[in-house]
Amino acid sequence: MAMSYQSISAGSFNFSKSQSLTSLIVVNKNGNFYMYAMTLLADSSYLNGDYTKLQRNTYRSKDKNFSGKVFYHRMDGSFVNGWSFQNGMVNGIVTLAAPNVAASHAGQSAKAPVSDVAEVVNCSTTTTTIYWEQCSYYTNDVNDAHPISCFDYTTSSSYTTCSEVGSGGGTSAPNPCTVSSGSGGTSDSLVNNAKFGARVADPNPPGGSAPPGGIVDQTNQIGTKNCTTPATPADTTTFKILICGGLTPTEKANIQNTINAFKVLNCAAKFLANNFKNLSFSFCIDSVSQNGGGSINYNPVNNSFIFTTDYAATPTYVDLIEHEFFHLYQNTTYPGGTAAYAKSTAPGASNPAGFVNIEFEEAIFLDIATKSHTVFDSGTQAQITAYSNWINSLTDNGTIYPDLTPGTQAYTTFIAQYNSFLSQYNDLPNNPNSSPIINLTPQAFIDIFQIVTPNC
Amino acid sequence: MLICFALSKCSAQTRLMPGILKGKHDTFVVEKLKLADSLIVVYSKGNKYVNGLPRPKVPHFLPMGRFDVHVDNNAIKQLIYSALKTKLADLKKNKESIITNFDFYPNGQISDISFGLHENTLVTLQDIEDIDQKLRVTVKATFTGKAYLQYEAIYYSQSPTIVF
Repeated sequence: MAMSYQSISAGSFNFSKSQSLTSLIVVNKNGNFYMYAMTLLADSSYLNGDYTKLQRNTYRSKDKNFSGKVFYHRMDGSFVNGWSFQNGMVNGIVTLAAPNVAASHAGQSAKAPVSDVAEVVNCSTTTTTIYWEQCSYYTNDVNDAHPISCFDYTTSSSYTTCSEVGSGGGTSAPNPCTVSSGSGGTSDSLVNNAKFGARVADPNPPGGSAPPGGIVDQTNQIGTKNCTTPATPADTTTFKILICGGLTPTEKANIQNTINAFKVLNCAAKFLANNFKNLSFSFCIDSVSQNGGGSINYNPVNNSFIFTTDYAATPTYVDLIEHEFFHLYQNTTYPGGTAAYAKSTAPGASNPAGFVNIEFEEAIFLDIATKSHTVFDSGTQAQITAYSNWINSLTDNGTIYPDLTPGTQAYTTFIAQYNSFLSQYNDLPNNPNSSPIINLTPQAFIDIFQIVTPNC
Repeated sequence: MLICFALSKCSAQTRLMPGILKGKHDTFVVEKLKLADSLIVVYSKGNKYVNGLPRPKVPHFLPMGRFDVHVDNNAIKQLIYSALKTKLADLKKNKESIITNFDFYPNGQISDISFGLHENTLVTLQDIEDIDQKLRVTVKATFTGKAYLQYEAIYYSQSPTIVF
């Protein structure tokens, strides 16, 4: 495995001239063992053509001239934490970039924090490509010297590096605890063949209680000796957030990051976040099953959102929040609200009449807001294409939101097409949202796009 | 079917009409769409999920997270533009576009591709076969997270529409 800022085909990548070195780190914490991959991604200025320099850097100490980044991943490929180095010293924190954050450089101000980093920081986002070579060996090839066959492929991830600027003009090592372990990252392919020796790491290395560039894993509480629960920044411009107790610092940080990502996801999301700014919502994780996907449930009685898995409560699934907030908007649009169409919690109960109307309207809204075509993902090729064509025509190929004025020919045509697609959607095999259709004009959809534009 | 008499390097170009059309290496289905003005969909007869993808093994409330599917849309667009480079001006004059849709196996390989075109498109069967073949070889998806392992095949919700 190697990491690189290049993006070329996997087969063309020269592993011997990679700027990266990956080591297996085994942490012995009170007799329990934890394994991590530590990847050094050195700057060209440090290597200066000498790729052997990478070997001078270990978990416990870095070459005094080392400049570059260090990434820590779990064995399932999920990102733990990372550091940026300059001349052998830590000068920045690496985290997973929030969705839709393009490679860039940006400054944050203390008055408008995006996450729980309250200090003045400089941040930049870069995309790295991970080159994998997966080889098979005979069992008696103990040195893995003769691969039978190899398969090259790549994965990529975006990381945000933030460097803290100290008041004295120089840089100081940032607080390692302002790191969200996050999730996602590389694919879950294991590193089949660890060609590098394992090093046993001390979670509390000598020289200080804060690990200089070490593992900070809040899930397993490694390297977190001096960490406190990250403070949630007060945000008075949109709805008030209450995160439930009983969650780990990582889970709380993930929820906060997901909400932050929702607020800037797209113009429709910004509108929804502002529209409910006078309300308070609580967010929690109630892990029923940890199957890697998950969903979110909204309880209108107490304005609470419950994620069903840890992974659902990460920015990767930010669309879940926009999905539920549009349901909130529907609830305020239709006389009497949408409670009458709500799914029954009784086991085996079928969906009430109108349930599919509400879900279809939301699905169309989300597709337009996120520039996706998901509604007919289990439909026929013909349905998928016809639906894509319809959405393209409503949005002029993703450049506008549909502005539908009642009484116009465009409005009449839209309603006819909407009802036809609604009927087809309802008839999709094994559709969990199917129900008797009622005569309900998609007023929430029409209203929101008469207010919001793609330019915000 | 157009037959060229005069040009020495002319090859037969088959217009996309509803029905089953045999290309040089593959057979394609052309369907006229209802509720889509003057639109056809074209796909290889070898497509596995013509009648719809199966639902995931463990029911999920929403489709797989779109941020967990990674496909190079620019590569798709460039490939199609390149394949049709001799016709770009005419396609633009005709105000044509191509809607693409992809399904991927969890290993990243393409399982199904379909193309939505105007029924009077200048794109021919030979063009589609060429594009289809090149896309299947060139385009791969990568996935993050674990949800993709729940799917027999993954629908790519952000397939590009190529506008000429």
